[in-house]
Amino acid sequence: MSNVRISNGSPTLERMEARQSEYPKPSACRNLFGPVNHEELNRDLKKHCKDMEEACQRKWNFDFQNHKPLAGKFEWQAVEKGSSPDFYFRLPRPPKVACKSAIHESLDVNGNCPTVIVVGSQGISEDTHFVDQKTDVSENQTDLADQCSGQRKRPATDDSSPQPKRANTTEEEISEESPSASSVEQTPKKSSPRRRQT
Amino acid sequence: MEHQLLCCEVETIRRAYLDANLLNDRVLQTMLKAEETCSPSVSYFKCVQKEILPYMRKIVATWMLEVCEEQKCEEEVFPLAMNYLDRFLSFEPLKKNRLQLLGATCMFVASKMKETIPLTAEKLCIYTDNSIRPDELLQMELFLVNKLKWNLAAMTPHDFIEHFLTKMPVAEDTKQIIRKHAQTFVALCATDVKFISNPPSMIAAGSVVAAVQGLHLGNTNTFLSYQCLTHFLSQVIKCDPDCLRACQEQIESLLESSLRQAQQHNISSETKTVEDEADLSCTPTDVRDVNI
Repeated sequence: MSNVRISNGSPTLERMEARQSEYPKPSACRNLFGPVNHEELNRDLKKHCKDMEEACQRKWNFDFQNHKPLAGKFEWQAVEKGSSPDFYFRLPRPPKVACKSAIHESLDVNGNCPTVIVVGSQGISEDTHFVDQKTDVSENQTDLADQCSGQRKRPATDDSSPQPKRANTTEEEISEESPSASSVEQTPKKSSPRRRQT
Repeated sequence: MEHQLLCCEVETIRRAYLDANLLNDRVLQTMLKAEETCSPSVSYFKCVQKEILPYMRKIVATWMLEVCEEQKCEEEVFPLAMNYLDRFLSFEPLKKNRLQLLGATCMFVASKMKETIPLTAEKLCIYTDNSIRPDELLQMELFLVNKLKWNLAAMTPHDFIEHFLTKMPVAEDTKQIIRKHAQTFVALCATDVKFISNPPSMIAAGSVVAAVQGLHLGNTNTFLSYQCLTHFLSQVIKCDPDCLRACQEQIESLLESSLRQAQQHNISSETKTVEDEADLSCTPTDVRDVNI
């Protein structure tokens, strides 16, 4: 009975083979209930999406499109950047290849500077501390330049040539990948617990 | 040598060991409570859906299972996807020709929840014979998870089977066979409308009893005797032993009817495609090896 298979391709005792770019067999590729009207479907899906956005906006009284608080149940309050955990604003994880090479590079160099170099050359790294510092400052050039000169004081960054490059790339990334990172964060706060009961 | 080693690492799945800290009573009690929050409505065909009928659920479920097996998905992906499908249909009336889009989307999300390398949207669209597009699937995904209120970590019968096996004083290799058979029953149940009303714990317990019965393990081990096991499992999941027995009998009759269907299908396909031997090789011939 251990050979029971409900459909084609059922495994034996335990699945041990990984999925390896196995191309779908023609027999399993089938349209079950007739053609789909794509135009109508897209219209409906868009409408559902809009409904969801509006429902969220109502629920949290927050305009998620424009990142603006609205009047309502919740009182939105600006919060200092450093006071919330860093995973709320650090850059997304790099793709695996980039990650590997980043580790390699940082292993090559001693001290605490390699992470700085890695951020400059690889664009993204897991060094949240650095990103943390970056997102702290506002977007204008002078602040970033200050930041750079501050970093340069660290030991072993004797080569000054990558510095301006780093400033450029990181700035770009911050504006590209986390558009809201530069502005102050806002977290919801219930105005009063009593109101919620009503 | 190095090449060989590399090959091995790529081709087999590396699974985490079972965590003994998660297989205790405290967790089980929480799971029994949690399964109630993620259960679909039993009467959605009558109350919510206008176009979708029970036989269509069977069609889409059979297709989903076929895709999951062909893609070597983890066992839990299919029952979890069916849980999403039923819960979505409990709230939202759907057009008949969008049921396959929903099925594909449910597999897409369930695979993300349970697998390290999930199914891609593109591949799933190919399985629908390109009747849907990846961008539609992604929009549907957002709609689905929103309708499920992002409660995606629903209990599956598989979660319970591990707990039952941990509690059973049975040899490890016997456990493995029981697990495999019970998992097959679970997948079978997920394809059938009659089992929507049963919570995952009940399906899991019924499947374990049916597996032990089917393997004739009760004769040699007193703990695995029918009376003993149903009593034990009904206590574990806190249900009436009669309910459990009814569920297990329902599972057995479902197996019997699907075996009969498979055999009929086998015979008809054999007569049809005598000349086409390639086709024959993929018909499920080994279901006949079952003895109950």
